Amino acid sequence: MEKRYLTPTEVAAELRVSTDTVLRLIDRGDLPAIRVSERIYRIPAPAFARYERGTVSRRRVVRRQASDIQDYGAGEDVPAMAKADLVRT
Amino acid sequence: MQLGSKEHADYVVDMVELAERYGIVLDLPTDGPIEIEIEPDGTLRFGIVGYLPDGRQPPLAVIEISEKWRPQTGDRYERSAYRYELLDRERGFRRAFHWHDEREFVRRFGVVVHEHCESPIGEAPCPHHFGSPVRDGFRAVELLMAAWVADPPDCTALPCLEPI
Repeated sequence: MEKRYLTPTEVAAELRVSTDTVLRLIDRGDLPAIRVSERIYRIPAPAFARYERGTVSRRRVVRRQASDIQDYGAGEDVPAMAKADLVRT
Repeated sequence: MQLGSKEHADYVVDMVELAERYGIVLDLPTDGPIEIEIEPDGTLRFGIVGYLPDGRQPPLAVIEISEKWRPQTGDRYERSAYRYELLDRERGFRRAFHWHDEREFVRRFGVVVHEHCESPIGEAPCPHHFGSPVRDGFRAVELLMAAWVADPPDCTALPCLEPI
């Protein structure tokens, strides 16, 4: 299994900067991180890989008419009995 | 949560950007546009599917972020439903945060939103779990990533919704 996250210290070692610098990157929002507790952060490994590769170009939005109405409740993986019991309005 | 038409488009693009910064590989053409669909009643909807780079080919962990936004007066839209999903086939669990069929859920359980938890996938100790509303799509990305980096959930520890 691939490593799922890195500690700020591990990221600092990879980038050859101080841990404080990594924490500043997180604080500025430059490096996405998950706050595990008040003082503990974990950087998802793919987020760090993306950071190393560079910035993401901004995408455009296009709108198009849909012919149907999507039901978000459909396809819930719930036991058959519970699904039958849930009468939708 | 209400946004104008232009703000809504920016919100979707920003959310996609956040997901990509987290390293999620979206099921979109590289640098291609994000499609927002307009339902017959004017509701906006979008659904983004992304793969978490877990080192497998094809990736075994998938996330989905889907939202609906109902039209309000004056070119404004209000988020009216969501479906945020993580399916980790590598470790065999599903976590989901849902808001849909609001009237029915309020009537039956006295709640607006709910969660799903299956570990292993397909085996749910409870059809719908109690959950807190997810603030927006940005928070959803963070929640799903946090669920992915964490240990597989203990679904039996989550409170189950009981009919009122």
